[in-house]
Amino acid sequence: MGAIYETVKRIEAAIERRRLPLYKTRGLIALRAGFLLGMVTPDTPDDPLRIAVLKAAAREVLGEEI
Amino acid sequence: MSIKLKVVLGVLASMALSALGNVRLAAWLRREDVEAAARQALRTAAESYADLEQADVEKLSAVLEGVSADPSLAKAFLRRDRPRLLELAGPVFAALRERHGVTHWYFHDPEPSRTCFLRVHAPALHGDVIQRPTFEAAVARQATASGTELGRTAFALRVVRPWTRGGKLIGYLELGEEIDHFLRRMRRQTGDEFAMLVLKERLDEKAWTATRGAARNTWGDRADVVVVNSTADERLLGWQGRVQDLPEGGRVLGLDRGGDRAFVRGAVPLADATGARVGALLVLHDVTALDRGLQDHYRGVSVVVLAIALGASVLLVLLLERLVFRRLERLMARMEDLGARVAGGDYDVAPDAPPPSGDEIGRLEEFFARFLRVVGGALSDLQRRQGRDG
Repeated sequence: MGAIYETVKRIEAAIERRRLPLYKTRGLIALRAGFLLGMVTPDTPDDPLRIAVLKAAAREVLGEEI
Repeated sequence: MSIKLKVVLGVLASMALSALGNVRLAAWLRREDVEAAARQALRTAAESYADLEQADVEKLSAVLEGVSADPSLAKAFLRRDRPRLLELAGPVFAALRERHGVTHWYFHDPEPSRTCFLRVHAPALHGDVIQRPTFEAAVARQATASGTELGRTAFALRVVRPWTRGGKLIGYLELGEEIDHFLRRMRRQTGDEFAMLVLKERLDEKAWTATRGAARNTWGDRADVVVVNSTADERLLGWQGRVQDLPEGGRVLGLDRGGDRAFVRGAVPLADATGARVGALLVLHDVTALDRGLQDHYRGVSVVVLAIALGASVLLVLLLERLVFRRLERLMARMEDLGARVAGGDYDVAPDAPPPSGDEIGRLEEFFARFLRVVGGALSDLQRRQGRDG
């Protein structure tokens, strides 16, 4: 399981914990990150730049560090 | 700057320009109406002058007809008895002067001498050959001739009639009157003020100056013309144009607003019996009532136009807001929401799109819904395939 997949899972957990609409919140983060979170699988290779962009997008939308 | 603000500013600017244009148009129409009144006043003055002349010609002709039938006058004339003729004509002339303003009465010898046998108004002067145009016309046509002629000091209306006894020409009778009273009578008829200008070259300065009496000598006031008669309104006398430059029908000289009154000025050319242009008649017509009426009328029109422009602007902005901008904002919010949901994995958002309304924005909404359906379907297939492959 790659780090980017782990990050996606942590984002989804945060959305659920905060009772936010799942698809819309994921979509807002995806639009900011520049790729679809649904396409990230356990086999997706890690890319430090993509992980950093994803975390920054999640911080912007959710207002918390992932 | 948002499109909405730009459109609103554009609409307001268009309406303001339109309203301004209408206000300018109203002002122009007002000027045109006042000028039309001035042209009418000029026509009326010219017609009034011609009517007065015609009426006085008829009056003098009737008097001539009466005196020509007097056998005692004819007898004295044929006997060349000037004292007797003066004795007979003098009392008649005094009555004509008193009642009808007749100022000249002549007895002329027939051709070939064509000399003046007697001036009843100036008995000491006689024996001179008469060459005035009206007399020439009567001789040429052997019929009554009339016309205004410039003497040495002023205009005079003259009527000359061939004098016959038993079908034989014995001479000519002529009556004349100064036409100073024309302006006073025209003023009474029309309420306008008048002044008569005559070219100096047609007058004798010394003789004219002598007629001024105690009044100021105004011969030098103007370069080429002199005011021979006026209904005494100095506002008339501001015109400094050339008589020769006036068009046949006259010219409106302008609108003067002084205090609470408004006047239009105009000038019509004057010709003598030969048709030669010898002066001008200046007219001052009071248009205060018309000017005020038009001012009120066009002020009302301007207020209505401004109110309509303002109302139309508000209506247009409200319609744009309701039909375009509010729907664009809703469409934008929906696109952001559905777009985010598709990006988040909700690939079946198309049914949430609003029903198409058929107008331009509705077609955009419909296109966007179809696009989401296609993209959502493609992403869904891709994700399923990825899951299978994974």
